[in-house]
Amino acid sequence: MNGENTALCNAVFTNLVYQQLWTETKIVDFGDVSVVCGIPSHKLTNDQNDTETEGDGQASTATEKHFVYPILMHQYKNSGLTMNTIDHVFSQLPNTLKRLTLGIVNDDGTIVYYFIYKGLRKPKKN
Amino acid sequence: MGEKATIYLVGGSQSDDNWSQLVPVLYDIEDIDKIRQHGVAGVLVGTLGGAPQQNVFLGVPLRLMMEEALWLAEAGHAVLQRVTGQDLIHSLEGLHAETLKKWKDEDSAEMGRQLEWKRAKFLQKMKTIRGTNAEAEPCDVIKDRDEQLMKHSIFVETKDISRLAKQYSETVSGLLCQQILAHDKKLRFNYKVYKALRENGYFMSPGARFGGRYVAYPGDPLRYHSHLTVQDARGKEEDIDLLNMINGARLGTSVKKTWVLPGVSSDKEAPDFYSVEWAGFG
Repeated sequence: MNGENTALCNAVFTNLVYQQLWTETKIVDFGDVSVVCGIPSHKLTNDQNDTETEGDGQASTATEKHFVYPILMHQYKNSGLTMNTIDHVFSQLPNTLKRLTLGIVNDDGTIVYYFIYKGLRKPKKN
Repeated sequence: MGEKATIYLVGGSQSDDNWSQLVPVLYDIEDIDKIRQHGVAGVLVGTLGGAPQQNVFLGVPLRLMMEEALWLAEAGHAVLQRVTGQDLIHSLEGLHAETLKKWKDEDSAEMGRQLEWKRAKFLQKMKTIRGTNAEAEPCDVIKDRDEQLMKHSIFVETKDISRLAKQYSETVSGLLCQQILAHDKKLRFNYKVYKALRENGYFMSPGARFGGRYVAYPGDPLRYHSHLTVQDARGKEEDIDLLNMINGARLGTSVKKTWVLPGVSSDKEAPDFYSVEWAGFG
């Protein structure tokens, strides 16, 4: 795990714990991929599909563990994120995982979070 | 008209290979119906010659995306036919006096039929409202003025397509598909994506409305809201513009659409998809 990656994980970790109030948050290494995982303070989706697609029945999103992959968004440089990278991250994470959360760290300190699903996915119901 | 719809490729000139300028259009209502059965809706773009500025009630031609035209042709639901101004001149060359006369006779026969029908109707009417004697000669009942009025009210059908339009050929159609794809790498990529989505049951329409290549509907657009804004296909090794992704996915939150990233790799036919949406916080 290189230095930049560690720094990004720490930034996302801090944001999740102190701003988003996640619990059981920790930085975990899967192979050469480091992600921050934890449990959100409130339910993130109320999508009926969640229980169906995740299949193992354990998954109400309120208690479900989320995996956040941090990535730096440069103002002037390319992100370095490609679909191959996402493939690789998914391949390192547990097989049952359908949703990866991207923690996009801006160079002004803003962090925004986006879900990435494998394949086609209907928009969530709000 | 045969089983297959005819899609005309207009625009561009015969000589140069400016394939990207070709626009697929359909003129025949029956054909438009046929392709809709196969999950291609298209966009009506025809307006009225007398009021070209009105754009609320549009009619034929129906404009397709090139991907749609190619898919319909490849799946055997339609044939492509390229039409240029030159083609019209060529088809005029083969036109003989007797063919013209035949067409004219056909037209006047049709008019005669309509006039006959109108005369019968008129006599019938006179009988009921004026009590005209049933045995009276038609020429005594129908005055010159009535005859004139009837002639003026004959319905002249304007054909959607010229009689000069050539009959299609399937081999040419297949060749056209290959040529169009061969000349445009981006289209080749997007075509793979279009095909995968179409064969998954989605209806696609042009995506500019929500900032994508396609907007994908889970069924006929008249019955469903769209679910996905599909981006331009990309190589899987290409960099993802994060700002662009955030723009699209955040917009998707408010319009209930998932932002879909399609990736094409050279070693396999089917593209891969990732769906992105805002996590709901941050």
